[in-house]
Amino acid sequence: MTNLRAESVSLGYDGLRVIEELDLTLPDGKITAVVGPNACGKSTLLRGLARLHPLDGGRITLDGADITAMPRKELARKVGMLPQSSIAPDGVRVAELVSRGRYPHQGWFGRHSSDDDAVVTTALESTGVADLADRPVAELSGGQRQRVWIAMVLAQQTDIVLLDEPTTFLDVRHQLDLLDLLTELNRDRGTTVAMVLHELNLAARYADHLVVMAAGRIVAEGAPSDVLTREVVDEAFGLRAQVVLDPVAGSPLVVPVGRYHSSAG
Amino acid sequence: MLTSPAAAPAGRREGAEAVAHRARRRTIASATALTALLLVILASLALGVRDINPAEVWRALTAPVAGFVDHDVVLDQRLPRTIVGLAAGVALGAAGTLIQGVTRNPIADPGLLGLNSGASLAVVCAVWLFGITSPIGYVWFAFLGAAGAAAIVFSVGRGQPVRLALVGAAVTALITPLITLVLLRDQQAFNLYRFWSVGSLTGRGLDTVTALWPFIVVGVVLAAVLSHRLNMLALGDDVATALGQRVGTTRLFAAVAIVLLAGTATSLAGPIALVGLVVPHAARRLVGTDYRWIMGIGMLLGPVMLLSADVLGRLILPRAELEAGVVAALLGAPVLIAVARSKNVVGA
Amino acid sequence: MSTSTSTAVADLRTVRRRRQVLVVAGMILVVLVAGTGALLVGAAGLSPGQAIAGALGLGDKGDVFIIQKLRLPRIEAAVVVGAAFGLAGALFQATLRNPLASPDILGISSGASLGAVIGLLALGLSGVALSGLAFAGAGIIALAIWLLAWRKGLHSIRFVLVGVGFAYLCSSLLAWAMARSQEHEAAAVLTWTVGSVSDIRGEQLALVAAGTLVLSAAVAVVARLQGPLSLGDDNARALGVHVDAARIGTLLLAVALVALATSAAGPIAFVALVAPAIARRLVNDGGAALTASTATGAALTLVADVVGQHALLGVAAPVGIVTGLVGAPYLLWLLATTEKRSR
Repeated sequence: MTNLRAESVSLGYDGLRVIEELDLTLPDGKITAVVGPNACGKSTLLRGLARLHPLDGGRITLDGADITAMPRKELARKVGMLPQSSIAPDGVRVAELVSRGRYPHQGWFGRHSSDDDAVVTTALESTGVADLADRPVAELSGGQRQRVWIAMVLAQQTDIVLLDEPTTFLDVRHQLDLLDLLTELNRDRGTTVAMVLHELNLAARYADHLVVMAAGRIVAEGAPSDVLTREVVDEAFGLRAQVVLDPVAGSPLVVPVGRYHSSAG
Repeated sequence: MLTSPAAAPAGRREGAEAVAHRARRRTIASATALTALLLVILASLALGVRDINPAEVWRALTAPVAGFVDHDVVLDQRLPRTIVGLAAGVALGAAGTLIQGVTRNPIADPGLLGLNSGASLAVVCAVWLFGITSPIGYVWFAFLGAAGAAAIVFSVGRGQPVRLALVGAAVTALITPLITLVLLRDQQAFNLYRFWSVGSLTGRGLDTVTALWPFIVVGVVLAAVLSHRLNMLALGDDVATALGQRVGTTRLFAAVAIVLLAGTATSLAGPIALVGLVVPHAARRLVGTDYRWIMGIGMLLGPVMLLSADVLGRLILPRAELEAGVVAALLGAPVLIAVARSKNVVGA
Repeated sequence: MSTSTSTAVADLRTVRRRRQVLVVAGMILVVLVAGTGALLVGAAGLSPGQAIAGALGLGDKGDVFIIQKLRLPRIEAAVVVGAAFGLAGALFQATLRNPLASPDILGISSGASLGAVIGLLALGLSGVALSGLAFAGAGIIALAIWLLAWRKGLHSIRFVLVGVGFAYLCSSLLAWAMARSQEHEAAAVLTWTVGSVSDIRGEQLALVAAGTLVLSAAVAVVARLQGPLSLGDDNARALGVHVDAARIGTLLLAVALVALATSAAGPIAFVALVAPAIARRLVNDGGAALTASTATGAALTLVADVVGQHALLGVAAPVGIVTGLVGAPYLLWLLATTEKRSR
């Protein structure tokens, strides 16, 4: 088991601080969801955890070792990350894209071993895109494409997977579909998953550990049922809301009030 | 999981067939490119304004008779230009592939990044300031000029694709008038430049290749090693980084390789247009999106294109030759236009 | 609350417009200063009084000739041609959404050069006939790019790629023509690849000026569409713009501007590439900066011509040499000092 932890981390862009001395530990083998209003620094935090963004202060450790002291390929064998800015090259096919996830395990010329093929096949199957293996990625639907990218991260074979808003641009059905998939990975493989999500209620339903951020700091974290209260929602989002029980999952359900409807309670 | 258990194996079987099909296609493409290269080398030795029969060409290579004109033509003219074309072609194919991979820009090529104009300026200055007119003298200037221009472009461009292209154009805009200025001042420089700038495989002895071949070897090795990294870079800087690649290092080494390769090619053959641009596109059509294959095929197609341009140039006009640079542009422009018209360019 | 927001929006627009006006005014000031300098300095040094008298047709006959027949037309030509190139470049770049899309990179300028060179070497033409061939060369290349890039609509990348192909083709044919011609002919070829405003006067100047004015007026009508178009095809359609027609119209105007200016002056190098890039960075509002590009093109060309005439010792450098020398370092400096954007 591996343990990814941020210790009083500061992050920013061109001298503008986005996150100031933040501490966070991703619980082992659990699903963590980070939520918060736009520009609260949640994506930046995730990028920092994956060493895609330089730290202004503090350190990030993996099993106690500073990740900046680690060779990048070694880190990439332990922590996988799916950023928002991924580009599918023209004409690339599903299996080929997924097999590029093997890069951190390969030598200079990236020669494929039979081991690689087995891993890629497993990744394709467990994301349900095995029958698309030979299709050009550009021809797929949004939901299928996102599954392919996740298959690529799976092919990386890491204990920790970070995902930056993996459900953006997907409709409700495909959002649920994707989160179910991530849950399966977490249960079947024991993969630690951490993701930035926009949709509060989905985050509450699927996360074991919920992190609510606002203005570059953590407002509350813990089990969704403990964290997601009226007060926290108001503090983080400036949103008046009722929190009820999700009749399906039993997780907290945030029902925003708005200006034209009165809240009964 | 969405897939029904029955669908997956069937799909995979089709997938396996398609993979085999593509592997076969790659093998065929490699074999064809290699055969084409051999044929074009033979044609380059055998064909020309002077009629020499193949048997005599063979004797010239194996048992040359000193003073026999046919043998002298083969050994002193056709052999050197074939070797120059081979070296410059390989270098241009590899450099073009690297540039397009690193910038993720389908129109990037050595010319657009300002390398050709840098080399031209240096050559013109060598003639004007130092009176150097022999190829072996000015190749080094051409090389330094290309390297200087590339240094500006890559440092100001900071590795960002769009910016890189804009800086390349700005550097070209800066250097081109400087060239013209020297040309207006110095008749000797003008006369040399007129012939140099067309791009040609003739008039350069083997001594230039002898002087520059280590650069090509180092450049080719670097390009080969980097080609797998280009595959990751194609997915975006973030994904490549997350997969464990040091993107900055990749770009740095790619820049070094590009300067070595494109600089050498320009030094050897002058500013040859379009080979570096067209070859990667053609290779992509043949073998798909894997840069390891694009690079390999590109290194074969580069000399095929350059040498066929040279051979055609010897045959098009009666009793005169058309320079390889002009023919390469005449061949390359339609190919580029065809690539531009193909379906998958849009959205690149 | 809504009134204060609407004032804020209005304020923002005022700030932006002020910035545009400032850039345009600055460029006009540059034109005035450089123009005054060009009037006063020359082989025959004139005092300000003599110059004014000359411009008004008074005073010494020689002075009147120098001012009215030599210096003034050259200044006017530089301003008109520069403005045309600046505007055309801005239109190309905005319509094709590519900062490299200028007539230099797309081969339209080299098409004009090639036309002129064919006229010069193969047909032995000169004067207006030669200008006509240059105009035709630019037009033919533009049309060819158009026909070949058109495939169920006009896609920017296709247009640019095809254009780059033609640019290389034309320039390598030019290089070949230069290598094959006699020494004195080669020099003329070189001039036609560079561009100069020294010989534009009289009727030709009037024609180019009138043409540029008419085309600019047409651009002003089309310019309203540039905002929506810059948001992308789908958004523009959603805003009610007929995208293909707008793009075709804009490109036609841009090609006409380039062909007109090139037929008179040759392809003054890189004005159409550099002037809009500079103007956009100075105005910095994310728009196409058409007016500012026009003014910048005029200023750049005039300054370059003054510098070329007087500052480069030993050679009377045609303006096309100097525009790159003046504009490119400035553009590079702007590029180097622009903060790295987040994406």
